[in-house]
Amino acid sequence: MNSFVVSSDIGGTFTDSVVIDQNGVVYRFKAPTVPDNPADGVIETLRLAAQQMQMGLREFLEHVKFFSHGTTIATNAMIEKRQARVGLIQTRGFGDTISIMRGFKSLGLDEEEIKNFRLLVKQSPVVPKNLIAEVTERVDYKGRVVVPLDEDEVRLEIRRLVEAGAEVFAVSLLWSFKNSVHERRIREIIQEEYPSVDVTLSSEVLPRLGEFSRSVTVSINAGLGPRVRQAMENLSHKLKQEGLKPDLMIMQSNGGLERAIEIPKRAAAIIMSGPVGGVVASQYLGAKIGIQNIVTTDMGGTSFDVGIIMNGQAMMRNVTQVGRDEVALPSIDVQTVGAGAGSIAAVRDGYLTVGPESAGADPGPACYGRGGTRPTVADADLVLGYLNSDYFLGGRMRLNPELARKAIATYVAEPLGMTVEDAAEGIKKIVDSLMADLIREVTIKRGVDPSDFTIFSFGGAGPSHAFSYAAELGISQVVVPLTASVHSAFGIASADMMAVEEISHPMQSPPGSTRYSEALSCELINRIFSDLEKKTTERLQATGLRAEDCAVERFIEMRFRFQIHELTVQVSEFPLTPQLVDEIVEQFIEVYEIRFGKGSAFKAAGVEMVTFRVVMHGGLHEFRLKEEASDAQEMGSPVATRPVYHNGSWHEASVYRGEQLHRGSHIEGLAIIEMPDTTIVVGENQSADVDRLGNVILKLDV
Amino acid sequence: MANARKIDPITFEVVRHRLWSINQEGSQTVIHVSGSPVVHATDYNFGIYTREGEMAVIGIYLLVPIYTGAMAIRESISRWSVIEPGDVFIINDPYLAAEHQNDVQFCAPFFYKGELVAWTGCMAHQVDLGGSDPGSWCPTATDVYQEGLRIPPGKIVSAGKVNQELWDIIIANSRMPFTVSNDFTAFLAAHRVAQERLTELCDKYGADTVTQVMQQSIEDSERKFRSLLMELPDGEFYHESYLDRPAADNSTEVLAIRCKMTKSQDRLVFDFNGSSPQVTGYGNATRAGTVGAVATLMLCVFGSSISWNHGLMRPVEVIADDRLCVTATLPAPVSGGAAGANWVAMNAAAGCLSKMLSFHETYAQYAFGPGDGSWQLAQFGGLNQYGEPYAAMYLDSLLWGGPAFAFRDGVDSGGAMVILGGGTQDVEQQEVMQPLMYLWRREVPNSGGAGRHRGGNGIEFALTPIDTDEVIGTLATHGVALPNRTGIFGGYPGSCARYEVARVPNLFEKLAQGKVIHRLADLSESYRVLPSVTSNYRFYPGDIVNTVLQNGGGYGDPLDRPVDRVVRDVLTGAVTSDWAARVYGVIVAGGAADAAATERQRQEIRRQRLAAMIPPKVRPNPGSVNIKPGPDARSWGDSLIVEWKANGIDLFCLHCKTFLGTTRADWKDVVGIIRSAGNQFGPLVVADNPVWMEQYICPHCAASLWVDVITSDFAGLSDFSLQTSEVSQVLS
Repeated sequence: MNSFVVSSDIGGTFTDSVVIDQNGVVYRFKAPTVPDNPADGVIETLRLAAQQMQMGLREFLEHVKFFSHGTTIATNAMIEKRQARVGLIQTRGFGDTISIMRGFKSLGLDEEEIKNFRLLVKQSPVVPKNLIAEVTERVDYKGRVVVPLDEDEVRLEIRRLVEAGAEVFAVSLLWSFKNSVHERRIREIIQEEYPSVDVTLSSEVLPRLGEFSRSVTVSINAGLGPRVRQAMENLSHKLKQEGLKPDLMIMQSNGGLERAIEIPKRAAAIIMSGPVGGVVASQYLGAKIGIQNIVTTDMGGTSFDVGIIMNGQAMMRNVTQVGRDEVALPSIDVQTVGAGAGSIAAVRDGYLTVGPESAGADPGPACYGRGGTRPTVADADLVLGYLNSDYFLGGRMRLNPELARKAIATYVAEPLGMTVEDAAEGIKKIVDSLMADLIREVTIKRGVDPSDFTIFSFGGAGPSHAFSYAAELGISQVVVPLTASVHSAFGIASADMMAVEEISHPMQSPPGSTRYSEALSCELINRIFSDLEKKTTERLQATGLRAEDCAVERFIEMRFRFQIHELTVQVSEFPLTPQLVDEIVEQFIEVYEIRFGKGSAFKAAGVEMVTFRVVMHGGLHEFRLKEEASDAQEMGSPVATRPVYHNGSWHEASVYRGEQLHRGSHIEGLAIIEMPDTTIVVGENQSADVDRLGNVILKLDV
Repeated sequence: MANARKIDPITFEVVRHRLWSINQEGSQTVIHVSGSPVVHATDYNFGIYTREGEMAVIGIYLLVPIYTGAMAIRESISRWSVIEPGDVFIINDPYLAAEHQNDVQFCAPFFYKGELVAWTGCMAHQVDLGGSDPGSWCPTATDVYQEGLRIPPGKIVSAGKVNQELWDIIIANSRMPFTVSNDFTAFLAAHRVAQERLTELCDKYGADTVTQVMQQSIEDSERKFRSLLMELPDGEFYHESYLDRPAADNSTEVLAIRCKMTKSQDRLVFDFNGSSPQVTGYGNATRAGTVGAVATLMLCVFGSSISWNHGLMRPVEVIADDRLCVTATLPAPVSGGAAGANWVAMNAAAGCLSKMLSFHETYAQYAFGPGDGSWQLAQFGGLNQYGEPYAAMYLDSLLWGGPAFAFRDGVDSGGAMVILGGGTQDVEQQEVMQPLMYLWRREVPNSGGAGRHRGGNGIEFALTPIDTDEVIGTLATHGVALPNRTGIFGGYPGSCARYEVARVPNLFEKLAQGKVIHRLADLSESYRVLPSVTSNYRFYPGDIVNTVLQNGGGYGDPLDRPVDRVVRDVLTGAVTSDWAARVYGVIVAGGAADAAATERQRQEIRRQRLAAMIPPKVRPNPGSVNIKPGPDARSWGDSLIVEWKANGIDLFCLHCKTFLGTTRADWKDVVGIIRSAGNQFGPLVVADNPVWMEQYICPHCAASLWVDVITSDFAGLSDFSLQTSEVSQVLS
């Protein structure tokens, strides 16, 4: 019997779905996103899939054994400010925590904006002051209750907040992760007063040190809850109605899946649901084809997203930025710069700049002929010969080279006194170097050399630029996955179920001592990890997984004392012994010196273990990708040749079509491979090979 | 260098972006490797300099040292005949090139293929370099020898080899040797990283190109700045600011910092001669700190439209004789010089700039009053809760309110100009490191100066010892007896600085019974306001110290503030309803304004102003009351319409358009004056003997035109005297 693994990913412009059949064949479907009712866009792609399978929608859905989904609902709700109104409860004396913002008026701004003192102001706080209440209570840094909770006051304050318009509650008290007794009691009181109102506790959602981030995150989480619940219920209901049997699974920012019914409680944990898909897909594919160290690059219309996989593990971060606010929940680290096919080129004070302003999807680049007049990266690509005006998106859209030339001539070439071709090459050089700079930054920040990595290139525009930004970085190999145009959705299909639990419990070793385990008790650490693991186990068991089928990873965020920045160290053996604790510290020092240079470790200060994290994951579903059995005989000759402008002159490039590619195909640059949904460029002195899964692998001569 | 070959615009953009990203990487390295909480709170910076020592790329953290870094490099170049690859220079001598001794700078020449191409420079405030007080901020020192170690320019690394003796001498003089040593390691790591990247950049584009991109960026900024200056009127502008310091007899001594700014064509000259002489105690700044402060102001005023680099300083000159409080020399104590007279000088210079900019329709938007008032040192040390020595400077003091502009309110709690990209740490982070528990860290209502646009409110934070027997504190600032953050164009001053203490026996037992403290002033028996400078103050369990910050001044007459804005301020708690009525004339009841009562109240305030007014010195003759401004007249901020005539300047009130009179001297001659104490302007504004407040008002409509702090030896120069020919030129 047919059975399908299906995933969908709602993006800004398109909703993508991936269907993997029982033979491991991957199908890709796209439909326009329906902003008012995103579930409709998903259903539309599923109709297309059913058609392809020659089934009715119901029949198709009845054959789906696993359905996972990535969504921008949380991000959109934040950007559009459509959250529920949050009443925030804080410790007396600290109710201004989120408006004070630790004094950082620069939060969420780039350097150029920060340098503009005249316009440098804070964003409005995530909860307005009239919806924040202080209550009398205090817990100290050791978790001791210093001031008992004034329960009568709590009752008065929550009534006041409801009268002021609060629809949900967030509670974030000082040191609640050391002692949550007051937060829990406040929830009980709210439930007595308003039984149907949602309450989010900081000690549950984010039991980490740092009250500013914690208060912002817990407030965002509380505000998103109702909206996310509605969206989850709506999509689940619709899919069930159409015949879907299994539970809907949702991609979380941490790169793992969770059941849709659990998501509203941790609504802020799906903010990166969409963008992390591409990293997870690359991790999955990398494991299949034996590549461990990967820089994932996703170049779309407006932005360029970069993730890192080291030793097969996606790199995580503790904070995600949405607008100017930060959500402090663990997520796969995806860094972004405003550079995409739609980025606009402009001359300012005699110099050429590209982005971050973008022509977006509407009107889009000038060559789209939809009324855009300003030159974009796509226009430059067309003028330079990298794009085929008659075969863009497999010929579904015609590009107008004259409009592209005109835009570049008017806004770049004439003001700078250069030819249109040179101007176009300038645009490409600048955007490629912006992308290379971002890759350099994110790799170097982790203490690694980009040239030791393979680039995975996807997104509509990535494969036509990767050959040059990879070369700029001295990278020798670029993989363009078969699923390049729907890579994020593919990642959502391939992800594991995942539960992450963490807690701060600062513990220090004294300065000058290297007998770390004397101060850092392995019994205590083991107990912390066991408590966390109990929670992750419960969460995964509820999905139907057995604990023995799950992998458990344990991490400690550490730092040298008196430092703020932490490094995450993985615990390889468990339970810990004193000797293992010492080894972890040594490992921390080693990682630290890799990142910051030999001799940079501040050993004399002693070390501090701050936050402990358990990541537990396991697969509820499996699929095997279809492989071509053997190398194809011949790929045939190029369908055409076409001149490409590079380094100030025209060069002939061979042009191939996607359908010519088979396992073992080999192409020498300069060549252009036109796929139905993207264009791959093979540069001079580069070559491309097709592997058994259909991925195109560029080899760069470095 | 002006005729250097032009780089093609594409290479320029690519290399410029790389230089930025290299600078940021250097900056990030310092913060990651440093073990100092002060650095983490961004009291540091990193920059790339040209081979001559001009600022080419500037980081966004503490700004003053970026310029002293340029001075440090030039000092090193002039003193050392041999500068070779692998050298790193150290300097913290405030008399030569630093704000104060804590600000240790490392500058490293960058060589490519044996040739000097550029410099990298970084600075971080060191937590302790010795001296009489923990933390090396020694506010009661009477000469420099009682303060932290002074390090003349020298090679801390020579041709790649660390000068271990020098390194050891320095850290042997610190109470926190490990932290200092680690910061030095961070400096070296940052230089190494940045220079590796610069090498790669030169590999790809050639050292010539990299040099030229730096030069060209500086020239571009210089050119733009000069042409901006050409749009502004030539003339002299004057502003006087004050620094209050404790005198021997417990009274307040006031230092005057007098700035006369001359703008002619595309040049700006700031002349501080006439300022008070240096003193044998707290308050001095050195020339390095003062020029660095002026450079900071240039970045923040003009750097919004012009790229940050040395081009913004090339048209600027700072003049001041030696041995003034802004140019202190040996043996004057200067450890407080990071935020002493040089900040006040920055304020005086900002005043001059605002007075000039406000004659121009567009650039009037650039004007703001004193940006930063005083650094309120809250430095604590002793043994922490783990029994280990510590020294901690609380960067919470950075969370003051910003100045108001013509088009917006000041930023609440975090408006600092000297650090644009920084802030402080979480309460929880502080409490896990130091044996001090916060009772509150909150915004203070009415603390920003009132105005059509309100100055930013700032915070107060209260600390009490926990799990320790004793905490030693150094508390020092100015702006206690007078506001440094005056408003402009009729805006009121922001609140003054204050340290207050109280003692509650068995504090923790009382807290456990739910008896919480809401305000220290409620603890009347033990409540005390400390003098502006306190050294070695010992706190014992039950003692509480509350630090209340000095905040931003307003812009324009508060009676012009739209009523709904005032209502919003009352609802968010930024302004209390009694002060809304008192200074804004807005009566708020039940969450909304009472329109009729508000109208009455605003009229009443105007009436009171006129009643308190000392009439103008010069009155227009009765026949001239109907004079209207001519076509060449121009407005000046919110306050005046000014028209240059052959016999002087005709002045009109911008609010009621009434002709005020003609004068050849000071515009203030033709308006009314109200002399008063500080608390007329806000509950936390102090203007005690020997200073008072003067408010200049329109004698007809009673609009507030300017509010200033005044001393008896106010030099009394006119705010502006424009060159008539220039005015007409600019106008045409």
